[in-house]
Amino acid sequence: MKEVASYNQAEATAEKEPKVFQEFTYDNDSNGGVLNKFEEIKGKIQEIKGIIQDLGGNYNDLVNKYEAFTNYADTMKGIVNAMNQNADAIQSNYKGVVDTAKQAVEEHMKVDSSLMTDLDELNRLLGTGTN
Amino acid sequence: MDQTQKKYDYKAVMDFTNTNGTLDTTLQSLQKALKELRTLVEECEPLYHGKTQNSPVYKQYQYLYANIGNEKQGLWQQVYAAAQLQNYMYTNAEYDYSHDNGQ
Repeated sequence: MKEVASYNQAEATAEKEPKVFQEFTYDNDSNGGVLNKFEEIKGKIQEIKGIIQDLGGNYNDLVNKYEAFTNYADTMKGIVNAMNQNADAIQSNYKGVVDTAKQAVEEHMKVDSSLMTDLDELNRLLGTGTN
Repeated sequence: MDQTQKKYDYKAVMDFTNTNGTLDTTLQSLQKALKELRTLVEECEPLYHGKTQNSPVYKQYQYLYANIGNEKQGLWQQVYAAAQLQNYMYTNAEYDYSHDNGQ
């Protein structure tokens, strides 16, 4: 089989495990802190979902134009559906990270109310805020 | 490989599925975005993390990385499948093109 597809095997097989830290950290620096990073991750997940839609469109173009490619339709659909499920799981896990931050901030606010704006922002990132 | 000759625009399909063709470009974009996502999550960890791997946030990061995945799981597993499919479609189109008997 000809291998024409661009495939980043190094990235695919790269180690992906969280680091272990010995102390809790919540760095909410207004310049480059965790809230900025959460926002960037949210945007990147949306970008990935958009690209998966584009891939589905590419596949549809092939199947719709060429009858010979209808044989591939089920495989294509399976790949796109699985990608969408994975992207949804990634989004859910990201929200899980944000939610733990929200819980930590809520707990901290029992003794220090200065993190109210953080709480508002975390609720917005989770889609549960009113702003 | 199916020996029945199929009449379709072999060259157009080969262009579409070849390296840097439309399909390949989409797959490259997806891989780039997935790599960028991993980098962002790695940058996020020092900014916000729990104490040891027993913390709830550690678990969430772990699930997140697992769903980003590799060739055997997660979204990267599907990227691998899409790359294999692309190779297969190109190879078949190239075969059909080279064996077209003009009918």
